[in-house]
Amino acid sequence: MKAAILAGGKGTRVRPITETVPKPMIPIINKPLMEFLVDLLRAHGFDEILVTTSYLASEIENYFRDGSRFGVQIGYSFEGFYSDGTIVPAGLGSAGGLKKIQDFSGFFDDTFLVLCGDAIIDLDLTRALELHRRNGALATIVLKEVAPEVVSRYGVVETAADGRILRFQEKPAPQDAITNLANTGIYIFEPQVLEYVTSGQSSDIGFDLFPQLAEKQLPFYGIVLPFSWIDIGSTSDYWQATQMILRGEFKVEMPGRQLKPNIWGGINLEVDLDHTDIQGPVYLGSSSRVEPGAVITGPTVIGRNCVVETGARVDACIIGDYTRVSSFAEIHDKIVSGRFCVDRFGAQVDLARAGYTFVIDDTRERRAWTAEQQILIDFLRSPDFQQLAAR
Amino acid sequence: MTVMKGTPKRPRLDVLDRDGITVVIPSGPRLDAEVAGELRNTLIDLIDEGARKLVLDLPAVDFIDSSGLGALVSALKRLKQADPSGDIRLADVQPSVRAVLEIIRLHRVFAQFGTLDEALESFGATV
Repeated sequence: MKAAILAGGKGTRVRPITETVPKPMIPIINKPLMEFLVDLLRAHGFDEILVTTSYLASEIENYFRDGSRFGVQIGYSFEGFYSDGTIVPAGLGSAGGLKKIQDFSGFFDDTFLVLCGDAIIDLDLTRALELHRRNGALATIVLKEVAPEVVSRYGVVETAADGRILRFQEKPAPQDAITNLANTGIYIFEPQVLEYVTSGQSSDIGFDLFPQLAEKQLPFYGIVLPFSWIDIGSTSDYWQATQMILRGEFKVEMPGRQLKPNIWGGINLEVDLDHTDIQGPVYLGSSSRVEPGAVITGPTVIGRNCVVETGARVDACIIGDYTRVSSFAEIHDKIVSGRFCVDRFGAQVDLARAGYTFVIDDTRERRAWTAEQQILIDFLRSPDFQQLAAR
Repeated sequence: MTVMKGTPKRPRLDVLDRDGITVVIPSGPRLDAEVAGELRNTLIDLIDEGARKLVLDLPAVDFIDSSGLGALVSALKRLKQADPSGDIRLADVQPSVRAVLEIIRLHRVFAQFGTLDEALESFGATV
């Protein structure tokens, strides 16, 4: 069976993480978000997957390649162009991207599934497909009830008793919302649905295609199934999603191996679990070093090739690959990604620009401290600091 | 040709006395290398002139780099040498500045208060 993953988005609200990593490649416990989708598709028999790419396309394409490593066939539809050897993304929108694929080869020749590359789900896709067919639908949206105060982040729909979609409302203000049944970005389409999309133009499934289907009273259904759905729309969603997964509220197979109850790790680790204060759930990425006397409290993910020095305190954090957390650092509820530190509400600090590389830095950097940094380092090491900090 | 140089600048730090407590208010949004020297010198001069209870009021500041924090630490060290019971407290600290203080553990050294009045009250002032 065939499926499409929409993976061309820029992920503006997940900056600065998406400065270097496209949203589908954001690591969830060191595994790209989109890989969870590919695993799910394979498990339900979707073995031909077309991925629309644009922003940082090569990051996605170089990881998934032809899909054989993941037990499926993967192809790409790139939306953009080269200018002086540099990729310029030019997304066609979710509907325009599917239309481009169809115009190219008629790839979608039977019922197909469409997923957005920015959410992790554990939906029973086989069951969803059965319902779509039973309804004789041209298009089906998988819906999920969301809290009324967050409806403005989603498209919401009103359905008749039989599931037929009556009205579609994109990102309404909470007081104007017709329902709290949100579009999850999981769709099942018949190929004929693409006849309602104009070739060569940018268009969106939610804004352009769905209102047409509803207006023309075509067989357009919404189905509500029990499943977990973690949508990574912003940096705080990303932090929250990782917390939930580590706490076991969303079941995923932990990578690596279990080192102790509630502590998992990759290979080539340098950590003495008897002399390090690690309170799970914690995942330690391969080739990382946790020095004796470091304190790590879960739910926390330490990336690959990281160093957590003696005296460092890390609590409920996502630490990106190649990060050195020095003995001076105390980080709670943060995402550290490259030179940036982002708190759970999205406030960010560019640590390198602000001169705090002696606190948190890339493990591969070799730096000399400035006079100002040395003043701080000397103070933080002094008995005065210990005394004042203990007040 | 006349070259205009040295346009008079607004002082980047305002200093007030409130009920015997010295209040220093940076007017710009950044406490960085450009302001750090002035901040350190101002605070140290105030301490040398006898200030023992100081509040840095920071509603306008949304960026503090390592030189800005270095200036604060230098002043605190000077104060503690002069009088161990003296203190520098912070008021109205913005989230991005608070995040930095926490990451580097200096929130344990510089007590923070939501408003200037609360910081003044913490020193026993009547506001």
